Amino acid sequence: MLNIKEKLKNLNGGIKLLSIVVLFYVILALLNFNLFISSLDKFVAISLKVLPSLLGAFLLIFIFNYLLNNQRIKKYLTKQLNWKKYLLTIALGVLSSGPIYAWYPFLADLKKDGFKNSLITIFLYNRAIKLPLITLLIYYFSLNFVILVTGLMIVFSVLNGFVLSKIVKD
Amino acid sequence: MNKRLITALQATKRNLIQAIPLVISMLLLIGLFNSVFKLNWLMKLFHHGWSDSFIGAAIGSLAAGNPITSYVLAGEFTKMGISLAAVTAFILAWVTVGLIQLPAESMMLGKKFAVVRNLLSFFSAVLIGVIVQLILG
Repeated sequence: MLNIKEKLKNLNGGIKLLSIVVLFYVILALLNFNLFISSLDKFVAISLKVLPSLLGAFLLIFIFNYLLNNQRIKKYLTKQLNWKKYLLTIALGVLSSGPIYAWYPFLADLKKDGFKNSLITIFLYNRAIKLPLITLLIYYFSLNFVILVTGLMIVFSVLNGFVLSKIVKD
Repeated sequence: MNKRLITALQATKRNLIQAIPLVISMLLLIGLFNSVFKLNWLMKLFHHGWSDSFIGAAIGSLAAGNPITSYVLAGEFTKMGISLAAVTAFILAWVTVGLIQLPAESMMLGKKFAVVRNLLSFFSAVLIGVIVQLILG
């Protein structure tokens, strides 16, 4: 019994979460089969749509891993923060693509190497600026809207990073 | 093979192995959420006042999926007369706040970090919505 407990404790967090979600789906299948099928249908449909951007995300993660080795992370993105580090992190956030959850393990790794919580916040917030989708936003709203929102997002990303750093210690 | 390339490949492989179960969990949860909540029901929550920015952010926080969907929906909301503040907050919260992703973010980056970051992103979406409305309204 102790062996099983130890093994469960050492399981990858993602696998634990997946096990809980799968168990939830099994219970759902027993209680409401129609909702289970509908959810599964939507899961398949969304997965197929998301797959190309997921592959894109992992390609970018590989490029970031290649460019940002431990020495470079330590040199450019850790210790005393300055405007250059903020700008670099903003740029990395804007350039990143794919679903946010694909980036969590990469960011967790960077965190171990000294990447600060404030910079992680800035990175994640600037991911909302999707360069390839800007034309679509201009179509639905206006160029003024896009310029204003983009500018505000960059400013708020830094503010959020600053506030978070005061609340959550590295 | 170049040592740096091997290190990058190993790191990416590690990230991929950690990410795959997370990604599948998220997609399963999104599938369930999209089956249970129809976005057109949520439209009835808007009151056409200043609180709409808050409501827009709340709906965006619950929703998940491709950002393109949020832009298309936001465009439709605008045609229906929903304020620019609400629509802006909705778009921003969709991408920056993730209630469905919260368990995964907590697991990888720490519970306190995940909660504080999402709260800050939520209120930022509301504030940016209000500022955009004031300037472009």
